Amino acid sequence: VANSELPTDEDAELVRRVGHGDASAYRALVVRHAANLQRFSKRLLRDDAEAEDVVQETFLRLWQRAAEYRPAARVGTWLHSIAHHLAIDRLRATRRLDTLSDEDEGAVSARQPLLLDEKRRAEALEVALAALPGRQGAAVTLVHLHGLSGAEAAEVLGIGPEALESLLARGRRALKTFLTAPASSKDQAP
Amino acid sequence: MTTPLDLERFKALLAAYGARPERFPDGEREAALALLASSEVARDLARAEAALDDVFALAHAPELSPDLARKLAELPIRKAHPERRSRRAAWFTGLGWAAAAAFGIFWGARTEALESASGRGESQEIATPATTGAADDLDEEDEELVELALGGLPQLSE
Repeated sequence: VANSELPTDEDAELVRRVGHGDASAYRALVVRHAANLQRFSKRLLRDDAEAEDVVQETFLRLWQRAAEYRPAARVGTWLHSIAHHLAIDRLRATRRLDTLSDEDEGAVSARQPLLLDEKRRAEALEVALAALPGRQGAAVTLVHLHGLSGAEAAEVLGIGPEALESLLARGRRALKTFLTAPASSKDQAP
Repeated sequence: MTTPLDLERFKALLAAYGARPERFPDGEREAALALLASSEVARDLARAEAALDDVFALAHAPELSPDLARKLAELPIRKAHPERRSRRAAWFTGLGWAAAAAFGIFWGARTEALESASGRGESQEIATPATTGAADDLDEEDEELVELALGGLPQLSE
């Protein structure tokens, strides 16, 4: 669900209720945001189990620190920021921060599948997103799938607007290369 | 009046945010829309970039794994909420203050009794509760005061 599509005032009200220990409000926020946070965490960590741990820790923070939420940021942005910090902590603790490097851009463009229909294009998008370097995949996921604005995505990732635009542009370029098969390879594809 | 956007910057915006103006930064959206309205080149560039946006629109909504969904649902049961913990702490703090107040009342009453007994000249020695009838009376009074102070406190449920 795109972050921008969620009624943010409702989100803020739910967080306020969670701050008073309302478990039903907590569960409503799980329904609204957990799947997106799982996808975002997986982009960064490239590991299902670790991504699930990060989502659990994020919602534990929500449950125990909702009273600290200040409506300066949208709830979705706030939760993505928490998940990002937790994921970075894990990568740092296991000396895997370099996996976020953008240097393996060629890994995506090397594969160019034949794209016939919408279903296959959607599947190919998932494959291509998973193959993007960590920060590029995270930036594209935040802006183009979860509906965060550029400013919000930059805030989540702890980078400036120019750096975010660079990540987005390189990510989109790699995805286009992957998703647009040249005519010659289309003829050869199974 | 917005600052006009040059084609290079427009290309950079398209490359990063795609062809949907609602994704553009707030400060540049209006100028980008103006350029789109006036420039055929800009429209062509946007059309070329829109293909990827269409693929994003096809992306499947992520699904939460059942195991994670269960764990998240159980979290409020497994982990105490801080407000509940602070309520509990408040009870204990209240109990502590009540006990301290009761002790203060008890001690104050005892001291007053001893001083008045001393002032009446009934004894030049330091009276002790075990050796004076007045002290015996005070003990009963003190117990009542302590009961009064502690009796008003609600019982802890946990």
